[in-house]
Amino acid sequence: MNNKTIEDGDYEDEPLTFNNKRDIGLVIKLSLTITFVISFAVFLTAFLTYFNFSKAYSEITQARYAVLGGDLKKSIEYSLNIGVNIDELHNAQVLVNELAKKNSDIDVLRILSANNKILYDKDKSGVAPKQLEIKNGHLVAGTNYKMIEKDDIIILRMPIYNNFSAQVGELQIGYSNQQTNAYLWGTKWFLLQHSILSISLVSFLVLVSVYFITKKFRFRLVGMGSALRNLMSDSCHDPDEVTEKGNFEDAYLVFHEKTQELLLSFDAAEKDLDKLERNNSDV
Amino acid sequence: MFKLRVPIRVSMMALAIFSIIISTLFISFFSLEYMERTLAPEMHKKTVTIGESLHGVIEKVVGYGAKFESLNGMDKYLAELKVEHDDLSYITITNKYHEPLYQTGKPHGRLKSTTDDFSGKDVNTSLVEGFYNTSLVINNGGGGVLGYIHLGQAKGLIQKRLQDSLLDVITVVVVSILFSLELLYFLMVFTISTPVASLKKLLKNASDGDFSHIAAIEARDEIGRFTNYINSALYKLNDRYYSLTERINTLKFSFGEKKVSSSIGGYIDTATRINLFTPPECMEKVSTELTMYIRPALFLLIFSESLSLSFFPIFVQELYEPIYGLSREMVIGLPISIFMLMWALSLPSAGGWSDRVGRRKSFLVGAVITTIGLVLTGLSQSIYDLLLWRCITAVGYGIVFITCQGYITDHTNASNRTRGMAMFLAGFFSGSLCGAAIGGILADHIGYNLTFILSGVLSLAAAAFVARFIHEHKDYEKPENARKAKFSDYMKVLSIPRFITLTLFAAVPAKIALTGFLYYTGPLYMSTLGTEQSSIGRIMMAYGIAMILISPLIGKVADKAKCYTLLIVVGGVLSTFALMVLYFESNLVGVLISMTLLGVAHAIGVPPQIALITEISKSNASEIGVGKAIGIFRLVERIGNVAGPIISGILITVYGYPGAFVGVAVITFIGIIIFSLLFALFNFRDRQLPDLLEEPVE
Repeated sequence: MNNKTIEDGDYEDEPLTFNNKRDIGLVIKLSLTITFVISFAVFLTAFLTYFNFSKAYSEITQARYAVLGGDLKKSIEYSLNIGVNIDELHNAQVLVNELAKKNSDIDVLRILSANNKILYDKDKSGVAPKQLEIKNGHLVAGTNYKMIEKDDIIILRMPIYNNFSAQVGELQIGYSNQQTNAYLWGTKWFLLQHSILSISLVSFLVLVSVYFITKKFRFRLVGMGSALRNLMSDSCHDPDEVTEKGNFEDAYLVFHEKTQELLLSFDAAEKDLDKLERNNSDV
Repeated sequence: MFKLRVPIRVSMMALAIFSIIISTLFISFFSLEYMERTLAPEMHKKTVTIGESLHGVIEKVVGYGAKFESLNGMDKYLAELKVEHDDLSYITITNKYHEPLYQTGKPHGRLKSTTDDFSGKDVNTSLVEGFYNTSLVINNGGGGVLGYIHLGQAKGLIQKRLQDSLLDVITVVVVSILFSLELLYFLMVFTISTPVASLKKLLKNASDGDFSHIAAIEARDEIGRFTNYINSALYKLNDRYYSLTERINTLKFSFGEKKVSSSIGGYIDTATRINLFTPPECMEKVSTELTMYIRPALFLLIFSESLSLSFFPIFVQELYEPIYGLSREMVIGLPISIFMLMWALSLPSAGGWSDRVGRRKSFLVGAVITTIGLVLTGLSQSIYDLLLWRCITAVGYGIVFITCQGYITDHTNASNRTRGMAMFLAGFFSGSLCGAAIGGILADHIGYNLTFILSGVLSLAAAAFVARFIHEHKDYEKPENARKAKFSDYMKVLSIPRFITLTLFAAVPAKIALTGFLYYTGPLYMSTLGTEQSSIGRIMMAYGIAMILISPLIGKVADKAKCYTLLIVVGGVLSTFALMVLYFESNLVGVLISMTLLGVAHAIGVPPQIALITEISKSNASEIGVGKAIGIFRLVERIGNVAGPIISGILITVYGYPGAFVGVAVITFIGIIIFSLLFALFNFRDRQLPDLLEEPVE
C-alpha cells in the first residue's frame, strides 16, 4: 500500500490520503458509466442485427438453390410417375449435367437411391453406385427438405417420392459457404466499425453534457475546498471566500466559521505563550 | 426571474436515456441501409431463378403443343408459387402485346415500360412504383417473342423482413434504459449523495463542537478531494489543540500554573469546554451506507435468474423423460414447483444464517451457489440432473433474496422501511422484466444452454458487486422482533380467521396464477403456437410493465382510502377475466391481453394484501409482531408458487390448454368469492358485537 497518512506529519498542503493512482473527476466517472450503458445497448443491438442478417442472408441464398433443386426433383418425380425406376432414368444424368452447367456455383448435385447410393452425379457421368456418408441434417422450416453443412459446403437434401408417396431416393444440391462467410465477415466488420463510431460520437456528446451539467456543483466544491485550504494556511483566516449558499454550503459555512474561531483562539493562545516565554527569558 | 433547478440526478438520467436512444437509432439506421444493400442482389438472384424456373415450365408445356394464351391451371400454379415464395408481391404473365394472361398478386399498371429495354438480354430488373420488377422474355421455338413473365418484390421488403430485428432493438432500448437507470442511480448515490450525506454529518458534528471524527470517503474525484481538505482541517485542529496543550503543560511545569493560566486567558479552557477533541491517531471515521447500495446487486441477480423465465418450460420439454405416475405436463411443471418449494424452504433458515454471518458474506455465498446452479442447469443432460441443479439454484436464490430483505431491514427504521421495501420490489420487478425480455432474444440466437451459462456469469457479477461495494457492519440496529418465529407463533397467526382467509383464498390463488400461468402454461402455450423465443420474452414483459406502472399508483390510493379488501376483490376478479380471455381468444394476441391484464390485476390486488395483513396482525397478533406475521404470511402463500405448475400440469393433461386456463381462472374466482363472503361475514359480526355489548341488561 502506498497510502500515506497524517501521522507522517505533512498534511498541510497535501491531501490526507493519497496514492499513486491518478484522480478521476466526477465528469469522467459519470461519462464512463453512461458510455458503458451506451456500449451495452449498441453492442447488443449490433449483435442481434448480425444474427438477424445472417439468418435472412442464409435463407435467401438457400431459397435460390431450393428452387433449382426443386425443378430437377419435379422432373425426376414426373418420370417416376410414368412408371420408370429411379435407377433406370435415361435423362436424369443429362438433367443433372445441364443444371450444373448453367449454374457453375453449384458444388454438389447428385441423386441417390433410397439405400443411400449415388445414382447420378454432376461430377461423373454414368457413375458406379457407391455408398454416401452424409446423413441427418436439420429440417428447414416450412419445407420437407433437410440442410446440412459439411466441409464448408451447404447441402440441401430433398426427398424424391414416387406415385404412391413412398420415398425412393434423394436429391442433394450443395453450394459453397465461402461467399456467405465472406458476407457475414464483412457484416461483422461493418457493425463493429459503426458501433465504435456511434459509441465514440455519443460518448463525446455525453462528456461535454456531463461537464456542463455538473459544472456548478464541482466549482462549488472546488471553491469550498480552496477556501478551506486557505483558511488552514493563511494567518488571517478570512471566511469571506465562500459566499454561495445552499443546503450543503450552509453546513460548510458553519464549519468554516467554527474552524476559523478555533484557529484564532489557538493563534491568540500561541502568541500569549510566546510573550510569556519572551518575558521570562528577558528576566 | 423564475429559474428551473433540475437536480443533477434527473439531468443525468435524461442524458443517459437520450444517448441510448440516439446511439441505437444510429446503429440501426446504418445496419438497415447496409442490409438492404447486401440482401437486395441476393433477393434479385433468387427472383431470377424463380422466373427461369417458371419460364422452363411454360417452355416445356408449350413445347408439348399447348396454346400459350390458354394454359389450363396456370393461375393456380402461379398462386401456389407465390405462396411458396411469400416475398413475391405479384407474378404476371403477359402476351407479347403486354396484355396480362395469367396473374397472381397485385401487379402495378406499368408493366410495358419495364420490358422496353432488354437490350439483348433475356432478363431485366427495374424499380417501378415501389416494386423491383423482374421481367423475362418468353421465346417461341423460332426465336420470336411469345410473351413476358413479370415478378414483383416490394421495395420495403427487406425492412419488413427485418421487422423482428426492429422489435429486438426496441426491447434492447427499453432494457438498456432500465439498466442504465439502475446503474446511474446507484452511481449518483455512491459518488454524490452518500459522500455529501457523510460530509454533512461530519460538518454538523464539527459545528456542534465534535472534532473527533473524519469522513470515510475514498473517492478520487472533486468530492474526494474536498473531503480530504475537511479531514486535513480536522486533523490539523486536533493536532494544534494537543500540541498547544502539551506546550502549556510544559510551561506550567517551568513557570507555575497560575502564571501560565493568567497569561493565556480562557482560550484553551473555553475550547476544551465546548468542543470535543481527540488525538489525531484516534479519530473515528463517519460513514453512511444507504439502502440503495444493495439494489444493483439485487437487480443483477434477479436479471440473471429471470433470463430463463420465457423459455424454461420449453427447455424442460427438451429434456423430458417419463417419470412413473406423472403425466408429461406434470413432469414439465415439476422443476418449477421444486424450485419454488426449495426456495420457500430455504428462506427461514437462510434468514437466520444471514443474521448471524452478516449480509455481505451471505449474499456472496448465495450468489455463488446461484451461479453454480445456473451453470449446471445449462449443462443438464436429463430431467433428474435438472431437478437437482434447480434445487441448488433455488437455495442460492433464497439466500440472496432473504439477505437483501435483511439488508434493507438493517438500514431502515420504522419510518422508512416501507419505502425501502418498495425499492426492493422495484429492483425485483425491473430485473425480472429485463431478464425475461433479453433472455428470450438470447435464447433465440445463442440457444438455451449458453443463456443459462451467461445467467451464471451475471450472477457472479452480482457477487463481485457486493464484494466491492457492501461492507460488513456489526453495529446496525436489529429490528425489535428479530427473534425467529416459533411453532406457537405459526399456530397463533394461522388461527386468526381473517389471516387464514386472506392467505388461502386471495394470496395463494394469486401465486397459482403467477407460476401456473405466467411462468409455466403461458410460455409453453406460446411455444405450441409457433412463437419465437424473443417474442415470448417480449409478451411476458407486459406483466412486469403493468406491475411497475400500476402498483405505485394503487399503493397511494390504497393507503389513502384504506380500501384494501375492495382492491383485493377487484384484483381477484380481474385475474379471473385475464385467464378467461384465452378461452375466447386462443392466439398470441389473447396471450398478450391475458398477461397484461394479469399484471394489472396483480398490481391492484397483491400490494393491498400486505397492508391488510399488517392491519390484521396489529389488531390480532400484536404480541407476535407485524414483521413476523408478514414472514409467516409470505411463507404460507408460497404454497401457491409450488402448486401452480402442478395444478396447471394436471389441468393440461386432462383438459388441454384452454381447460388449464379456465381451471386456474375458476380456482382464482372461487377463491376470491369465498374471500369476499367471509370478509363480509367478519365485518358483519364485528358490527353486531358492539351492539350486543351495548344492549341493557335487565
